[in-house]
Amino acid sequence: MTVVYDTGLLESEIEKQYLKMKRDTETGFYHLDPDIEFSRNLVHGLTKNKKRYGYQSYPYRLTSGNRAEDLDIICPCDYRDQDIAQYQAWYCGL
Amino acid sequence: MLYALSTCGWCKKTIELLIQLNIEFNYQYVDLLEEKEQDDAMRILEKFNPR
Repeated sequence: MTVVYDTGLLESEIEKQYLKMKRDTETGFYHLDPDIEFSRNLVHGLTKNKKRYGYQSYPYRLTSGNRAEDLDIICPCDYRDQDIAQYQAWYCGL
Repeated sequence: MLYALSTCGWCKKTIELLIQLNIEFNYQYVDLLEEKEQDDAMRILEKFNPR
């Protein structure tokens, strides 16, 4: 069973953001998770947060709504390079 | 009670798994709660995970 959320986001918006993120990460010599559904879900969360708060805060953490407080978890987050060094992947899985 | 975020893919997968396994549960999307309810939820969560 797939859980479906009414997020107010169009599939075309999510697809556009997904392709942009894919292009941007590959420019930086990173690759998105090859599980496209998983990656799209993550992009969906980022897009939802951007719409809600005005910035792409990490969708797996509770956002305060205060940009200054959330600076470290705005994607790409401050923990990215640490996570790559330790886990060979971003903590979010993207 | 499952405390989740409406933006979290892992939370979504967890909910799907619990449904698939026919496990009865309740859940709250903490990010969709009003500020006071969020604070209350965080206080409860801190008992289980102080970080």
